[in-house]
Amino acid sequence: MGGRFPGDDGGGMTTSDTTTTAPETDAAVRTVAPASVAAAVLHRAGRAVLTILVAIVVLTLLWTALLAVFQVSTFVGKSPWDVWQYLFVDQPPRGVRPASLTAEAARAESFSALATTLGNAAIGFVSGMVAATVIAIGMVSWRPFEFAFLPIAIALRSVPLVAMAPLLLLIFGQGTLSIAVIAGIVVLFPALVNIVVGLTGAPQQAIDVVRVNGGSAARALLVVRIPAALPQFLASARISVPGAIVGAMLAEWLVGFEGMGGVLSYYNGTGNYGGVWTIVALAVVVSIVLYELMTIVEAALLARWGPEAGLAR
Amino acid sequence: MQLPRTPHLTRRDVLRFAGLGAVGLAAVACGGGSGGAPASGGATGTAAAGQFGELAVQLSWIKNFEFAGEYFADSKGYFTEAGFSSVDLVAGPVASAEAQVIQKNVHVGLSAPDATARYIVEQGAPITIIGATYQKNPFCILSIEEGTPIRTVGDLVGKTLGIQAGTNQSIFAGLLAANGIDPASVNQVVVQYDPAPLTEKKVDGFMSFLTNEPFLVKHKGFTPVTLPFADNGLPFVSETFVVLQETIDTQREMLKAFLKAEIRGWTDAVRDPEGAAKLAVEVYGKDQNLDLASEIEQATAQVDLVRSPDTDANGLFTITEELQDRGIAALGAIGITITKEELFDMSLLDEVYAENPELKAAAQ
Repeated sequence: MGGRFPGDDGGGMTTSDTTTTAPETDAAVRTVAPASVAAAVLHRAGRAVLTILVAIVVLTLLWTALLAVFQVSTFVGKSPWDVWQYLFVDQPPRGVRPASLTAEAARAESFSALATTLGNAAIGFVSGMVAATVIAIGMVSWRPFEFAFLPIAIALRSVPLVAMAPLLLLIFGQGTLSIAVIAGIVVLFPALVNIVVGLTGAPQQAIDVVRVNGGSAARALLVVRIPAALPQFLASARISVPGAIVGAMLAEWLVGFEGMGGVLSYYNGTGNYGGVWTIVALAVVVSIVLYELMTIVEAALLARWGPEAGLAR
Repeated sequence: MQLPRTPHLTRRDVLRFAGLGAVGLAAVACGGGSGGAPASGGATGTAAAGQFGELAVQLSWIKNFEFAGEYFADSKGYFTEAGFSSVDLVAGPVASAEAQVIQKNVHVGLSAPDATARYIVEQGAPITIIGATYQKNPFCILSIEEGTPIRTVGDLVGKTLGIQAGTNQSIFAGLLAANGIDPASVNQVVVQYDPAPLTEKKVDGFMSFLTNEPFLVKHKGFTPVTLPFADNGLPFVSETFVVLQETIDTQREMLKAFLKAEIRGWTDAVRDPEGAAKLAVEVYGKDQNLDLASEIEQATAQVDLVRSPDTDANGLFTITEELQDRGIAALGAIGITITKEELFDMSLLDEVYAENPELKAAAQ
């Protein structure tokens, strides 16, 4: 986890394994992999479950403490227990849930908003990651591309999205396309920077091997750079998951009244703070869970195809 | 007598006030007592200078002509004469003025009875209404002849409507409920205060005030079509003053002083729509780039909302029993069951007029 890419020795060896594609070596990797992949996944899954539990406990404590320390009025500040009652208790105290809203309806509203947001986040995640990968490859393969795109990427990053959004809405309309673009922009920049680092950090010896064997730059990209960038790609995918959810919520909040971002305005406007806190809690829990799921996927993929695949742990 | 208490201000409020306050103070200093204000001096009685401290009012919209009375009361020093050391007119729109009141970020919030009633009924919020600037519900769905005109509530079905997030959403939900329209049959999208999405044809209808956006789109060369909420099941007063019950209980005199200054300010606004528009364009809403001619037109139209035979008889801001009953019945029809006593407390205004009878006739 420490270094950006593996030491010259390890990296050089694994990538040359792939480039030479010696039958025995390939077979060796394959036979070693399943056991070590399973072990890595199990190891990672155990840690993920533990992390999720610890995170929820810590957040619950922090949440309660912050409400107390800042003396937030009970009308606006709802506790974790209030959120539980909002969703699951039939007759909560006054002010926890709107009088006309049943627990069942509250659950239906919250979870359908969550489903909408997850759909939008997925769209943003995929479009952001695809755009980041394509642009990163463009930047590494062709220098002028970097000069053309980096300022745009930096501008997208440095102008607050909230300020840019009305323009985006005018260009892309108030619909799914705008949500994909806004969530995608949130994902794009960190992923782009990471993937470029991965692609340019490929071991020079391995690239030289391709070159001296008459391979083109494109071939070097395909067989050396892209595999070498896998850890960075997966790391950006992992950190982009919460980003995509936040981006989707921001877009929903700006565009309309659906999804978790959209219902927040209505809850705010009608003083349904139980609903507001419930949505926030759902967003946080789902972000943590999906992030941890990504760490498991990452562990599995790296164990199989990463630079240290097949090496003893 | 209570000592002046400032509401719990957040750091952002303080910063904002550092900026706005300077403008406000300058305006007060320049204002003086110009014109024959009918109720100056003696009417304000025993109020000692700055006795009530700072006053914070949450406006319901950007600083345009709509708060003409507040601008007059501030610039002519009526608030100061009533005993306030300074006034923070907090620009909107915010998600909810009620929330600002409940969190004690402001003393008074400007909202609408349907939104306030929802807060009381659904959340048990300890708030109430102590007066109404508008005697008629000013909300409408604005559309344009050149686009997709929406003339009846039936026309709403299948249309894309721009609604401002927050309070306006719940008010619009009331319109649909009052007319038995399934919310799923209209496509609601979020808009800001600028009706550009309407003229750009991104939306078919735009939730607005009868007195505001229709004039703006007309000035852009379009033909406005309006669907007034008042004629379609929502006969409410509006731009109502919302306060915490706790404030009524502990700072009654402060709220009465506020009403007194407001009556004087709105009396000026009713008499001088042109001056009202100028205050909006040149002082309070300077950064909004408002158009003076259009603001004068709007401020003039606004007079018909503020003044009515009822207010001529009883004074500005009053809400007759009949108007209250009609509002309560309309609320009942959209599923909000509330009593007059829970929603309105007109006793402060009654006392103000009893103690200052000359204020009553001033706006006629």
